[in-house]
Amino acid sequence: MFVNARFAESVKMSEDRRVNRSSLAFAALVAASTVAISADAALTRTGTPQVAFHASGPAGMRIDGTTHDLNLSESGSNIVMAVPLANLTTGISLRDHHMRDKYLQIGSYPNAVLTVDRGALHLPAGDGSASGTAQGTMTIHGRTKNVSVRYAVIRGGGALRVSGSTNLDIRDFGIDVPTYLGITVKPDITVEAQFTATE
Amino acid sequence: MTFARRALPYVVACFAFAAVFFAARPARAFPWMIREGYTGCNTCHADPSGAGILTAYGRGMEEVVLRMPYTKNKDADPGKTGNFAFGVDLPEQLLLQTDVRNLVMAIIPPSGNAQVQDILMQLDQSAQLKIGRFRLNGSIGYSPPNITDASSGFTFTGGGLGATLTDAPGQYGAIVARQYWVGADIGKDEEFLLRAGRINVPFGLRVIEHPFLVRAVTRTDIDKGQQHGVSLAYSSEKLRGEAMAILGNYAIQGPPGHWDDPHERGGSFFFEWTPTTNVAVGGSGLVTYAAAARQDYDPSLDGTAPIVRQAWAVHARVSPVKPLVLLAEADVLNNSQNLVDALGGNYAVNHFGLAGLLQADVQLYQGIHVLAAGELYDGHIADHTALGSTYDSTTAVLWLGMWWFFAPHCDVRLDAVHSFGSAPGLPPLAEGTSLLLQFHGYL
Repeated sequence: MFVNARFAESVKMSEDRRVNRSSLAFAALVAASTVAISADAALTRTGTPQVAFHASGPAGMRIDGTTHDLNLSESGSNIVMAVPLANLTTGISLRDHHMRDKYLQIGSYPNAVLTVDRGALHLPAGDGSASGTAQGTMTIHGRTKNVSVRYAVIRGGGALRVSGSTNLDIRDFGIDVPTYLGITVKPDITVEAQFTATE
Repeated sequence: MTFARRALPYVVACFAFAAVFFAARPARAFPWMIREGYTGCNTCHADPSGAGILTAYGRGMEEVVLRMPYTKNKDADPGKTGNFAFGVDLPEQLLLQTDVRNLVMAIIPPSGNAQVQDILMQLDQSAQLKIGRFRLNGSIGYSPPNITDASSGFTFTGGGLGATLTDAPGQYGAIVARQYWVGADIGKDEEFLLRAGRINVPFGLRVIEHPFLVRAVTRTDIDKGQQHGVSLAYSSEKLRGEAMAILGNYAIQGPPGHWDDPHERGGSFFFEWTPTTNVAVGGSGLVTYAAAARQDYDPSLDGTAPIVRQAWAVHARVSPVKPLVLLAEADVLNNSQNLVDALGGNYAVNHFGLAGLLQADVQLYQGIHVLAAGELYDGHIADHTALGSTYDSTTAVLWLGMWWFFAPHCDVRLDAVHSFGSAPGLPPLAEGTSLLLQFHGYL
């Protein structure tokens, strides 16, 4: 789950446009960690986060999945963002069933977890914005891989609006490449998250 | 004012109304599937721009997201129900589809008795064979002979008559072939399809309601508007489109000695950009030349003179919330002819037109749709002679329908269509209402 370049650009846009619906959760985690660096204060997630993944199939097929579940916590020097997958939906019930039970196997692996060291993040000291790329680890389907997370943080009104994204190959996490009735989804996906937190 | 000019608004209105009457919906084409996040067409259809024979995935999705579910468990896999003949496992290289579509229609004029017609709109067998990157695709069907009961006025007819391989139905009916083409998939992800044959003309919204004015006046419907030619289609996540070199519709021919005259040569294209999975906007263009205009489309044209036909359009598909999809298209038309007057002088006649469509599809429950549409056509003729004049006409058509995908491979649709028009100094045109009850089933 990742922050894409679009997120970083959005930091410079108007406030309304910044809060892109598909960028919340992961970026929020990352942003939270950045805040921690500067303030060393605990982060509390507020509002409704959004975590999304974007997958594609042959010749233009698009699949977008979203959830509004994201838990933010701290473990030692790390910021930990855990996304429960039980409510991850793509708009088609049967596809969701396949995704959750056959591929993600959420009965055994209920969460996707991104962990980022606070020291890898940078936050604006006062009102303003910051963005960057941080290294972290992603755990999905019981497997943990190093990932590079693009993040952006906007501080204002006593809150941090965080977004981030990363690119994944689901095969790295031991997830079978989904195939249904002759259509095979590409293994490369983008994960985005947006959330708001306070220190 | 010539008879042709006086007749034009009647012709347009009658065309719209009669087109409804003779509605032959040859194949499914559901641009409102954008509500499910399917912005493109080629995952569900062999034709990358939509309509026609379904892929295995398209058959599956019909069961999963289109027809009414009768189980509380929406996660239930439909299994092989969507397969050809309700369960046949075909080789992945082969697609087969047998379509039956019948329409019972009551035409209710402003005064007088209603007329009832039964139209066997479609009895087609479609197939596609794909070997490697090469495809062979086509359909062949049967259009039965006409039967009329003089006492009641009831008639039974066939559809697809603009796509016959044989002459119009006589004693034994006619063979119909709407599409047949060979193609090659190109690109790493087979995002391009190059094909040649009789192909749906890429233009505007690819809707199943071929009588819609935006399809009828541009001659780009999927019933009989196909042309022979070569096309290149492209499909990606956010952009798709198709461009076609039109070589003519050889299902028709001119009179002896002029067999090639009505064949149009030129090109058409459409593109569509989908910034999100619930919004798509696009544009289209068409320019063709023929040595003789087709008066069967527009009797006000001079059938002995060359014609340059142009159409340009913009369209949009938007699903603000999943139950609702809005489809809109606006077209600008010009049919231009250079004629010779009685003294041997040349003069130009331009038939200008504007056509628009706005349709709302509301899915009340999976499998049950309510559709409402409004159409408008406004046209005039500019005759650049000393005595030239303009002539304006307006035609409007309102649709209200309900569509029920009630069982695997089956749907039934009921439409009420009201059509009316106006022109200076003339009474309302072809005003009336028709009720259409349509059944479609396929294997």
